[in-house]
Amino acid sequence: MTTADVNYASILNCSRAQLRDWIRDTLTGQSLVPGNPEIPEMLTAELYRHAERSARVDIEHSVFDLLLSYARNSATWAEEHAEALIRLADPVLVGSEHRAEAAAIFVTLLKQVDNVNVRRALIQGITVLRLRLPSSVWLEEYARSGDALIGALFEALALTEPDAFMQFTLRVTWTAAAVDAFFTVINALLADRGAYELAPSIQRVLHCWPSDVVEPLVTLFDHEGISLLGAAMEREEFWLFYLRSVLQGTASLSARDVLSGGTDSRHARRTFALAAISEYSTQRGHAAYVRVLEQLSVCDNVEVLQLATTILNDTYDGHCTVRGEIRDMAMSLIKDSTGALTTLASESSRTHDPLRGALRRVLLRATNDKGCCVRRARNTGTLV
Amino acid sequence: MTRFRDVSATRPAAEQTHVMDRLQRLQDETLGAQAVRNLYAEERLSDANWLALIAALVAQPSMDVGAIKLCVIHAMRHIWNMTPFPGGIALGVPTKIPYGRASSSEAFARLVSRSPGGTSASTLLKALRRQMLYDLKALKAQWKGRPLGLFPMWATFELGSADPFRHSHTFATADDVRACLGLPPETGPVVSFIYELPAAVSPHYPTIIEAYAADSWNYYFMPSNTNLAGKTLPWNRTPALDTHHEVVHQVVTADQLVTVPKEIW
Repeated sequence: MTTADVNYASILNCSRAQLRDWIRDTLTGQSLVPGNPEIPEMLTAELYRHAERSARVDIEHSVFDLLLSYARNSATWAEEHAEALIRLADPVLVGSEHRAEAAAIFVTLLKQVDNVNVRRALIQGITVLRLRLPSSVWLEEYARSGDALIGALFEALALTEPDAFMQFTLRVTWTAAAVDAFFTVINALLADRGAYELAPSIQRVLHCWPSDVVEPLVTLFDHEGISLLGAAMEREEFWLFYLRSVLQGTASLSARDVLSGGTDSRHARRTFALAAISEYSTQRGHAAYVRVLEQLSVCDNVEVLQLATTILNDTYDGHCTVRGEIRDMAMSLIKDSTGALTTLASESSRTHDPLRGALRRVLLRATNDKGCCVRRARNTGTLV
Repeated sequence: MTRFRDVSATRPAAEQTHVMDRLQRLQDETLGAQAVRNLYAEERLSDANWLALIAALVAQPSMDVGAIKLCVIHAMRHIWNMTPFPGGIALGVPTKIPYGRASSSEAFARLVSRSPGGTSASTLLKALRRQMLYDLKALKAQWKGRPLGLFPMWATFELGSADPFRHSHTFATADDVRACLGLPPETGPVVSFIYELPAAVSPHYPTIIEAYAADSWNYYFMPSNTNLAGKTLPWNRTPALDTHHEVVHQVVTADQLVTVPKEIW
C-alpha cells in the first residue's frame, strides 16, 4: 500500500446506496479519493476490477441507477460528468444484466442530447454494449454531427457491416482525426478477422482513398504478408477498375502505381487497351485517348510499345475499330520511343504480316528524326 | 511571486478564519491534506492568483468537504483562464530534448476515445497493441494528429540523456513506472512515450493550478522547489525512489514522437 492507495475493500463493503453516491462523487469532482486527473471514470473502473462477483453486481446496479437518473433528468448532470458516467458502460455494463436496457437508453439519449462529447460517448457506448443498428442510423448521425464524431461512427459501422464502413469512407472528409480513426478500426478488424478476410473489401475502394491513407495501409498489409496493391492488380477486374479510375481522374493512385501493379498484367493491359478504345473513342474522343496514352507512357518504353503494337495489331486484324488519330497516336508513341525501337524491330520480325506492315510504315515515318535508330535496326538485320 | 500565507495575511481576520476553516476541513482527508500542504508550499503564483483563490473560498459557505473541493477546482480553472501556465516558462530546460510521458494504457485509450477520431477505449487498446509493433514512420502515419495527452500535458526529462525516463531503479514493471513518476495507483500496463516539443511549445513549471484544476486529484504532486523544473513525487517505497524532473506544456501530437511507444506490463 502506498500513502494514497485506495482502500477498495472498505468501499465495496458499503451499502448499494452509499456505493452509488461514491461513484457519483468520483465522477462529479466531489470525491476526496485520489484518482486519475485526466480520466474521472478510471477510479470506478478500477474498483470494478478489484471487486468479487457479488460486489460487481452492486456496482453494475449503481451505475445503471445513475444512468437512469441522468436519462430522466439530464439537466442535473454537467455534460462532462455525464460523459464520464456513460463511459463506465465499459467495463461495468458490458457483462451486466442491464446491458440491453442501457444500450436502449443510449439510443434514446442520442436523439435528445446536443453536446458532441456526450454524443460521442453514447455512440461508443452503443458499440461497446454490442447493439447493432442499421448503417442508415450512422449515416444520418454523420449528416447531423459531421467530422466531430468520425471515430465513433467508423467503429459503429465497421462492427455492424465492414462493407458499409468501406463505402462510408468514400463520403468522409479525410481529416487527421479521420485517418487516425480509420487505422484504429482497421487494426482492430485485422485483430478480429485477419488480413485475408479484410483485403478484398479494402481493394474494392482503395483507389478512392487519399495517398496518406493508401500508403500506410499498403505498408500495414505488407506487415501482414499481403501485397495490397499487388493482390488487387492480380485480379483483372480490379486492375481495369483502378486504371479506368486513374484515367477518369477519380482515383488517388497514380498511373504508375496501377501500371506497375500485378504479376500477370500483360493480358490485362491488352484487355484494357481494347476496352478503353471502345469506351473512350465513343464517349470521350481523341483528347481522352491522348491522356490514356500519356498515362501509359509512364511505363518503360518496351511496355508502351507492346501496348501500341497490340493496338495496331488488333486494328489490322479487325478485332477493334479505332479512329485514325488513335492509330496515329500509337504510332507516334512508337516513333518517340527511340530507346526501345530496336527491341520492337527485333520483336516485329517474329510477328505476323499486318503488324510488320504497320511497323514498317511507322519506322519509315520516323526515319527523318530517328534515322540513327532505324539504321541501327536495319544493320542488325531485324528489319526487312 | 508570493506564498499563500503572505497574501492571506493581508486579508481581514474574518476572511482568514473562513478560509482557514475550509482548508482545515480539506485536511481531514489524506488527499485534501496533501493538497493543502502543496498550497502552502507553492511559490510560483502571483498575488492576483492567490487573491482569486481566497475570494472563491470566502464565497464558499459550505463546510462539506466535497463542496470545498469543487470550490477549489473551479477557482483553479478560473485562475488558469486568467493566467495560463502561471508557473512560467522553465527557461533552464531546452526545448530540443527528448521528453517523456507515461500513462496507464487504458487511461491513454480512454483519453484518445474522447477526441474526434476516438473509437471506444477497448477498440483503441486492441489497435494500439498492434500499432506499437510497427516502425516509427508507419506508426506516425497511422496516428496522424493523435493527441498524446490532455491539456495541459505533464512530461518528464533527463538533461544530457536520450532517455527521459532514465532512473537508478528498475523500470521492469508497470508499477515501477507508476511509482517513480508518481502516477495514480492503477492496475494494468502503462504505455510510455518519448517525443520532442514543436518549436512553438515551451516547457513550464507545474503549479497547484495545473494539479488541482481537474475533477479527480492525483495524490502524487508537489510544487517545484528547484530552479530547473518541477519534481515528481514518487510513491512511498523502500528504498525511497528518486524524483524525476517534471514540466507541463501544451498538448503535442503523435507527429512529435521520436521512438515507437512502449507498453510495460
